[in-house]
Amino acid sequence: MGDRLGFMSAAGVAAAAIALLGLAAWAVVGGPAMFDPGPLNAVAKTQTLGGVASHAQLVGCEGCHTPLWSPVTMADKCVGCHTDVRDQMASGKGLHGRLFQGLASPTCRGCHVEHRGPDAPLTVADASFPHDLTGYSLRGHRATARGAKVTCADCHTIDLAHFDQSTCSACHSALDAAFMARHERGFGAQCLTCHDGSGRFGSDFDHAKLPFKLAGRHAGVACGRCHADTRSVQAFRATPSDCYHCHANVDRHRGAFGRQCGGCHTPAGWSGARFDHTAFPVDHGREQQAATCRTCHPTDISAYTCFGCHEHTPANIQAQHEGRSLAALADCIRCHAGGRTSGD
Amino acid sequence: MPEHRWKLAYPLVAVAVTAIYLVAYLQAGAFPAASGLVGHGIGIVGSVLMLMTETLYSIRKRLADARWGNMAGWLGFHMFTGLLGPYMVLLHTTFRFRGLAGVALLLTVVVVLSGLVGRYVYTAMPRTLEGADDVVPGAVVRDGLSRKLASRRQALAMWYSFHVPLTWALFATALVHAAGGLFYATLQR
Repeated sequence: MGDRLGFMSAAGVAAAAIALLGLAAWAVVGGPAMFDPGPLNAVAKTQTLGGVASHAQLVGCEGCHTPLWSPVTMADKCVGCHTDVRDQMASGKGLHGRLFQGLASPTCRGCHVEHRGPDAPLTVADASFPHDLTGYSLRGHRATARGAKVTCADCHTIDLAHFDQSTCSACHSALDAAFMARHERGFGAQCLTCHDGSGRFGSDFDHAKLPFKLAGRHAGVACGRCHADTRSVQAFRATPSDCYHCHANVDRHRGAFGRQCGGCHTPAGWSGARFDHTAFPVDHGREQQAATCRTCHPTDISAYTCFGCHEHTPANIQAQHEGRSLAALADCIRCHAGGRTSGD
Repeated sequence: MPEHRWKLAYPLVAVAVTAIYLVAYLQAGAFPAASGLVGHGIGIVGSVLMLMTETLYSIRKRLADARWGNMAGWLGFHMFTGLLGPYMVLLHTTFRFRGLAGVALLLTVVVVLSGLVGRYVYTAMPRTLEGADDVVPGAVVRDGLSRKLASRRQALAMWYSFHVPLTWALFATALVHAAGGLFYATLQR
């Protein structure tokens, strides 16, 4: 045997040349179909796009594929028919708009595959799918109610393009049926108007980070007591934070002290109010007697009378205000705002 | 060279490849796509192993004074790559045989079968494991042995002229298949 390598022979090179020539002839006659990557999706849609109801109705490879030297990309061909996707890409709205804005190098084939068979799904998404870009994060959905790893089909029961919000309720009721019943009564069943999956208004929601802290007796109040019929994030934000919105019906002052309850009261409770009687000097009298609230407010805090004090008997007042009826003299403070005899 | 230790690793590598494939199969719930990481990986590594089968042993045979292992070790490695390579290529097919890729696989099967035949034609040659013909120069050679040697050399030459062109045709086809895959399934966006 000579020194020539066994695999190096003229016949071998000739065979390779013949094979390449044969393949070139096949390419000329059959075109790129010689690569025969498998059947296209044949699930017919009700409406046609680009004249076809399914990819399988496309004739030849040129419907989607472009030559090596063409500046037109395959994605250009996709959106040539799928104009709704092109519009979303242009506007940045919708799922595809958000994906194209949010992804570093978005391509159609990053998610969509073909040639996998007539019934094979055209969308292949896995755990790497940037779900945050859909407007709903999966950060809080690592496991199902039964503790299993969450899969796409756990939430997308029909197909990836559809989501039924009753899926939320079904799963979360399995976790805590009583809470979900109460929660849905208070806030409705359109979960996505408030919840975005990133933890906002979720179990890690911290009301203390908002200007309205839930101190004192506010801490134990059910959410729906303040946020009744709240159906959106905007509605949550618009929840009135003034005391009177909730406490008007329990105002024992009947509005006489205004609506700034916090001037005297704290969330710790109605009792224990720190009251500074600035409206009228309680210690105005000469005798410095310890007047109780009822001395001047015998019926309720919204009305007062000066006749409760021994000095200001109706007879005395009448005597000091000649020519006026006693009825016209009931509102002493109108003239004696500072509690002085001469009026001020 | 302790080639017996090398040989222990061969079945382990084959088992590891199969295990990777099975994990991918279970994850996908189907044969791993030819285009995926596992699919492309086994296809590329498998065809490189086949290319090594074709070339390395032949090169080593010509370098008789080389010190890189003995011929028995190289023959073992040659058979290992020659069996594992086509096995990985077969896994790469997802067991669908269409178009150019189908032709490439058909050629692979023919080349492997031809290689197995060649292994028996080759070892029928009286020779030592070191690759030199078992005919000592200057020794008295009986006519019968000489005739036997001549006919087997003729058989080996015939086998070469069948097997080598087939192999070249296979690698040419596989190259076009890979170029097509590279363009349509990888580069085209």
